[in-house]
Amino acid sequence: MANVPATVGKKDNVLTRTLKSLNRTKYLQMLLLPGLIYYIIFHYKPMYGIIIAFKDFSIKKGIMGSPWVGLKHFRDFFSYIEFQRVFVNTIILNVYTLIFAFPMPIIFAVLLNELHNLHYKKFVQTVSYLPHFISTVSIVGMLHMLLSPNNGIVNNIIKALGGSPIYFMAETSWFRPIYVFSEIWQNIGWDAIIYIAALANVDQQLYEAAVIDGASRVKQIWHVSLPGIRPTIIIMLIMRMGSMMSSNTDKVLLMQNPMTYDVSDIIGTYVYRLGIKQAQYSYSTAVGFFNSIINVLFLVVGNSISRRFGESSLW
Amino acid sequence: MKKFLSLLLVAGMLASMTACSGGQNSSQQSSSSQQASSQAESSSESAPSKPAEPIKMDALYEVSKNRIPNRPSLVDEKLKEMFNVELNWIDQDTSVYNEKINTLLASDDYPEVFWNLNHPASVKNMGLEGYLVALNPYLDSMPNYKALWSEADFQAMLASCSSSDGNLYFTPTQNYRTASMSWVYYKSEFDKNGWEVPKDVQGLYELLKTIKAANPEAVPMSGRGKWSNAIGGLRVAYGVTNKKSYVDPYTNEFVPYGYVVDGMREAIKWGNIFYAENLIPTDYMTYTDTEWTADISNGRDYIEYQYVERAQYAETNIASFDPNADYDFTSFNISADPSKGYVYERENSWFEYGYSFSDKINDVEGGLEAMLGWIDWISTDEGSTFFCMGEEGKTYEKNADGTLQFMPDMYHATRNPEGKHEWEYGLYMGITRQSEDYTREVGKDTNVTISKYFNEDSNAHYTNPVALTFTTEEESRLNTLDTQIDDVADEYINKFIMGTLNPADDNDWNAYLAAMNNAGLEEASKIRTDAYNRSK
Amino acid sequence: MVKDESLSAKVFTVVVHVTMIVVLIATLVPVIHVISISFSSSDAINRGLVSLWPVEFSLNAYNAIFETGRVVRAFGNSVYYTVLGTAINMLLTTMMAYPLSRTYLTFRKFYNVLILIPMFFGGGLIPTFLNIRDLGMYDTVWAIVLPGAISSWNLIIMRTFFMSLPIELEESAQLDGANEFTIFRKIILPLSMASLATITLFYAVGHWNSWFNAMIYFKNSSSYPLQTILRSIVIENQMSEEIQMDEIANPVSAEGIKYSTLVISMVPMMVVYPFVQKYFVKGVMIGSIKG
Repeated sequence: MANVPATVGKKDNVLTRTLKSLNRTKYLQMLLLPGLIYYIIFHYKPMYGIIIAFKDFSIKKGIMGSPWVGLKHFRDFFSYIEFQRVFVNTIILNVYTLIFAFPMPIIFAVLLNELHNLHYKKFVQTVSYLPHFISTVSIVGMLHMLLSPNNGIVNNIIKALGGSPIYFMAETSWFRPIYVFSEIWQNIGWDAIIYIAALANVDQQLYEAAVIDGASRVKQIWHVSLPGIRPTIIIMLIMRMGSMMSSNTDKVLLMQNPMTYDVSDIIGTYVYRLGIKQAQYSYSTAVGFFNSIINVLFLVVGNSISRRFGESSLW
Repeated sequence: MKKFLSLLLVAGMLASMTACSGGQNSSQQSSSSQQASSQAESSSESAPSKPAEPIKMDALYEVSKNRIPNRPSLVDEKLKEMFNVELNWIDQDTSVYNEKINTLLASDDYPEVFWNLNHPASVKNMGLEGYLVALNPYLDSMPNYKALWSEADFQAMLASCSSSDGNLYFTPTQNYRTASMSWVYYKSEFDKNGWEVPKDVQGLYELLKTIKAANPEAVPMSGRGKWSNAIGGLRVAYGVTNKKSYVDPYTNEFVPYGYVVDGMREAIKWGNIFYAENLIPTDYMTYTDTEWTADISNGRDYIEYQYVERAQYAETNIASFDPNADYDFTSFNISADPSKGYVYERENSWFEYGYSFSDKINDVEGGLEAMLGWIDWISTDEGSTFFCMGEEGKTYEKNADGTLQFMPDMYHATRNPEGKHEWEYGLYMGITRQSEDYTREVGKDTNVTISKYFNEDSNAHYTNPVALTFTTEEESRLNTLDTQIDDVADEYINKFIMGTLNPADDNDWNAYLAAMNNAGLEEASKIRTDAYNRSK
Repeated sequence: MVKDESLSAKVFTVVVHVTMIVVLIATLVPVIHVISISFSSSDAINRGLVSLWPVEFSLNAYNAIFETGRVVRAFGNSVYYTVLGTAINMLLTTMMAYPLSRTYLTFRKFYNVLILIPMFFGGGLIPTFLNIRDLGMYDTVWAIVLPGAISSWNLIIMRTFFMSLPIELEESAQLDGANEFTIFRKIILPLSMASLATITLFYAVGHWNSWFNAMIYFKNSSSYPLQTILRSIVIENQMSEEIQMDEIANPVSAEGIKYSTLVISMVPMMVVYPFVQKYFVKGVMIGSIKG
């Protein structure tokens, strides 16, 4: 390990060791000081607001003056008759996205990397991320158009092949596949950017060595490209685990309808419907808090598994 | 140099004189405004010879569709002239209104006046929290405003618009119409084919089939999406309103939830039949305005239960497809049993938006009286004419028959679509009373027409929207239950219409009722019925 | 380069090209659709006639936006906020990411957890707002660029990138007598161009797309950025659910406006991106370790 001179005494206690270590890394500590201050001022200072989840918040009384209600909001939330439904749906939707949508940008980035023609490569890459900038409303609007039972392209093809049209958006069995598909469609190019950048960092010489060893392009990908971006993939994966309860509520809201509530109603959309009639500040804070706790649990599990296998860790 | 200095001196004197004489200008106006200002109880009004210090307040203006006036606007000038009030405007877009208001309140940085507020629930809450002035003690000093309603209607309005502590925290606006919906249809096509809008539902069914046969491309009954629009007209035909609770027009009984009554079942059964025969769009449930507009623009939408104003919308959009198209609306509603008459949805005589005043206005001497005086004045004939139409010679002119009309350079749908809008002059936004000329000028007189039809038709019955007041706990509980109940209703009714379940099958219908009870229908119904009994 | 002529290589090439074509079509088609609609007449849009080419070419949808006059100023605001914001972002983020990437940093675990917590827990709108106010930043540009000065997500990514740089680089520099500042400036940064370009892009896009904070923290709409204004315009032109206030039959299709706002948001990205792309070049590391 660089930078650690062999001056650690046998009888140094923890405090002394820490101080010596601080001294050695003092330039690094100075570098990160501004960022530290930033976090404290802008994130930790207002964080007391989290107790709104345990209070019956009234703006006039302020956060401190509002009455304490303990776990009331959480109890209300858990006693929602469809609590299990929305909870499970939220997780399943994210698990599906993780399994099917997460690998796509990686595959795309890796294959893109194999293009020899630089102009073509740049062109494909530039076009591929554009859907990321198309608003969710428009994306869902396009989905409706494509899947319309009357004159949507997909149903036209089905009819041409002799089948009868399917009202896709109303079918529970189609909701999750369509959602995941739209996520891939919208984000594959944009999410690939990280991996493309990571691939750029892989040492060219490793490829040359592999070629000399007679590796085919597939083998090169397997033995050089992928391992080269492994830390990035693992970190991204762990961070995705930390969003198992978060959802693209806007998109689900636009895509869902009462026929598919059994699979399409998630926590976010339920809270939204509840909030239309009467803004419930404390309640939504409590739900958000609950989601965050579950997210953290997933994150910790994911991180631990990663560490167990000797891979990167978030801390 | 001397000349220059003396010029400067004179200019300085003139400037200071003008600045101090703000009140003097107003006293040179016509006597009517002087009378009006003396009627208003502004304590800072002095004898015309002594200029008074204007009452300065902040006003938050809820802006929708970016309708921000050029300031100082005609309204600003009138406020100054008549009530000596100068408002410092804060324009707040309506789309993030709730979040923004919360931050302003939390940081104690909110204005004295809230102008044109369109968030009734949050206003009632703000009142409960103590941020707003309760207006009940002042209502008797606003005779013109009170006169906008009959005594019975006024009481109903108070009941509906008050917060759960019994206080009224905003000044509701008068609703100039009692109805706004009937059956809008493609008249020119109907005339060409000799079709007529039937009086009963069976007739409607036959008509739709006929239309479909004549034009396979036809929808023929489109709508803006969701089951409530798809079978809205059928529902009304069976006397079930689109409000949750209502008083049955025929039996006079209170119905807490119209979702589960027999009439609703019949309407759903028809919906099921219509859907099966492609008389309503296959994907009505996910229809957006885009698809609905496409149906209209391509001449596929022949008849629907809709706001009568939208007949104009249909004509505009179909113009390129069929330049001679004519859309009209019926003077009656289709009914399940025309021999017993028909039902229309009668609106409340008020709109739940208006002015509010924060507790900060108590620190401004004469501020509240001035603003309430303003509200009382714009409820008069003269006041509402000014606030809707503007000033004669500037924004409107008088016709030979005495009606008023916007000047040629002002906006009008057919005369001058590029013209200046009334809100650019600060007009109309924040009315308490609509003027008749204005209604006619902006094409809303269709609402007046349909209201007249229904009011004068002895065959017309209406579902009475009841004003229920709940306590805070009841309201909160109801909010939770209603979300669940609505969800179940949405799921099942769509399944009934689309044929996944059969509304004519007792087993399926009972399953629906069971699911509704499971979602809390009984408890919610009791809360509502109790509130209704309290209100009688 | 030795060209591999075997069957598997040919199959592989086919797979690559097919994938690229599929992605191209899948992503290009919606973009062309959006552009086509934005340049079509309201009538054609209303009737649903537009698919992949403008029908009845018209600049209606764009005029409706630019007429309001708010867009040009908002555009300028956005450029200002994005440039200022991204500069602050990159400065603070790199300064924090580098130390965190050194495994021998004291309190490393503590810092790592510190930056992770805000990703999950926050005070909510009102405490955050009050905080900004108390700092005197209400109605200033700082309320827009400082609260998001470091995104933990981006920070973690950058830290990961820095960690992938071989330790030998640092060691050889230290042998030459450099301290951490110098190493950071002269060695780490130049070698991380791809990562820096990526994170810069993420921050810039984040600023460019943001609309909410401006609405909350600015008093006057003249300070609003582009997305806030565009969003207002789209909402303004929508038909309301119930008719209460004045509603004019809109001569310009609401759909068209929705799409023209999209195009306006996309164009700057498309213009700027090629400049960022050139940093995604392979082989930056050649020769750095040898010798």
